Amino acid sequence: MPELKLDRVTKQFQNKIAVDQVSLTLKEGIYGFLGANGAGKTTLLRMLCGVLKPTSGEILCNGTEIRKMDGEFRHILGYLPQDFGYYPDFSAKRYLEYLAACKAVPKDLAEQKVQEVLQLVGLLGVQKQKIKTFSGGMIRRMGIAQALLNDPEILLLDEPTSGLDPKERIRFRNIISAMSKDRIVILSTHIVSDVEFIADEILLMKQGQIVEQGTSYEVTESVKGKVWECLVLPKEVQRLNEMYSVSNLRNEKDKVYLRIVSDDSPWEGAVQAEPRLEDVYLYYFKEAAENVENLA
Amino acid sequence: MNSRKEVISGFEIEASWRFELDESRKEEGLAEIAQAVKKKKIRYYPSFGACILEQMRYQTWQNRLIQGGILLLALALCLALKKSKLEDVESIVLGSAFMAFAANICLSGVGSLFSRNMAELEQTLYFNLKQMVCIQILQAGILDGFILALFVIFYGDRAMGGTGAYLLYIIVPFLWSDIIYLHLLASMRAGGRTKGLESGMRGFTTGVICGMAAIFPAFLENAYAVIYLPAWGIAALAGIVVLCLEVRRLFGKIEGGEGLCLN
Repeated sequence: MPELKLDRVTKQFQNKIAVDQVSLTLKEGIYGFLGANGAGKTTLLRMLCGVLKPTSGEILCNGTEIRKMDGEFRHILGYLPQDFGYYPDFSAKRYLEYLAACKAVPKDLAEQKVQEVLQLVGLLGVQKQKIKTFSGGMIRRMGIAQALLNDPEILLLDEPTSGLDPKERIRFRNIISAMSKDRIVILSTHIVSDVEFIADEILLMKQGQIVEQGTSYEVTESVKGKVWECLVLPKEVQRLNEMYSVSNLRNEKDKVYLRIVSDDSPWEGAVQAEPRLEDVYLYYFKEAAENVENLA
Repeated sequence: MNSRKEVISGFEIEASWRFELDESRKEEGLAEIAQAVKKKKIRYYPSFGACILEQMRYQTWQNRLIQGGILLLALALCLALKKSKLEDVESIVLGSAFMAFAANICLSGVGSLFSRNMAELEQTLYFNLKQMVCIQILQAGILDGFILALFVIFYGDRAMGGTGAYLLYIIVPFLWSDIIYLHLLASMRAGGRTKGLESGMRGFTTGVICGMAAIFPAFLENAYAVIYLPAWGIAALAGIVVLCLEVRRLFGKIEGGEGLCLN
């Protein structure tokens, strides 16, 4: 069973610190890295899979630096990049066979594994079609399939459900849950529902640092007392929207229901509500959301 | 069971005596061992040769067509040169230009590894991007070697200064053409959304430019005279050194990783 240890891992690109002194120990289970765009999740994942070299700090797998392990580490690794590449003229089957060969899956086993993963992601019926004919969701599913080919002990998935419809997302979650035993699975996403139901531990990442970590319950408890529900007049909605992070807005007859994330009560008569993971996201990443709005 | 007496250290004991086995503990122990064995994963470690064969097996038909095409073109050109009544200098220039062009075309297999945003994923595979680049460079080198041999065999002995001189005249543009291609490759961010065709066109374009640049010595008086052979030798040596540095730079880029990612 593998153990990954990050010791003050930092990555700096010219003037920007993308990952800042991150220290973690990861054992068997599913870890959800949650954060806004630009938080450093992808950079961290790229360092974990050995694509990027840390500026400082080290990443150890079972006590050995992963770059020193070289092929031994890549042998147990499965990775789905955020920007997943493929050869468009290859069929799905040929592409997976190619990757199986590159992942040192024995030939006699490769054919079977390819069929297995294609079935797992629901692409068995289109295995002979060229990838260039696939939709975005199908390509993403093929990306998930290739990550599983070598039965990896460490599985890194960057934005794995991007482009998938709800049914496919649920299917993906079930696949990952089923295979998390004796494995380290790391999901990097900004979609809360990807990790809410399956992650053993959630790590919130902001500006290159881990700002909060724990089980889903522990993380949501961290914003207990900071989630409010209130009914307001329609004319107040815009003002409140500008002042606070509104996680839900719903019209109800002649009033508007608002669910607001705030340290203090935003409205007279507002009542505290049980926090959800989405509220946690809004609480920690509201500046990121505001910056995006300002740029727009 | 016949019991017989043995003498061990002066004591007579029954040879058939054994410790009583605790069968249940034995079963437990065996079950634990079986469980541990089941958890152990037997990993396959293919040889480098096996990896090379797999890489060649999955080459695209376009790549194979290009390589086959360039080889046939080289053969045709050599046969034509052999039969032609071209001046010595003109034959050398033609050979140089073709070698410079062919160098880029043969290396376009390396370029295709950095297209389609495959580089990031391929770097994480057991047989990773660095090794794939090695194989592509090796393949390009073998093909270039064939083409070089063709030119030398068909025309080398007719060149002024002999076969050695002819080899120098055509290897120098070939080396520097390779250098330019690898330098551009290492300088640019990995293909991203660059399509394979665009990557191929890049190789073709730089090949044409390098081929045209290879003609340049023909405009210098007596550039191919024997007296200037040492200069060609120095250019060849410098080319080898710089080529090694460019290959090292390319591997450095792969190792660093930033150039492999789309963003």
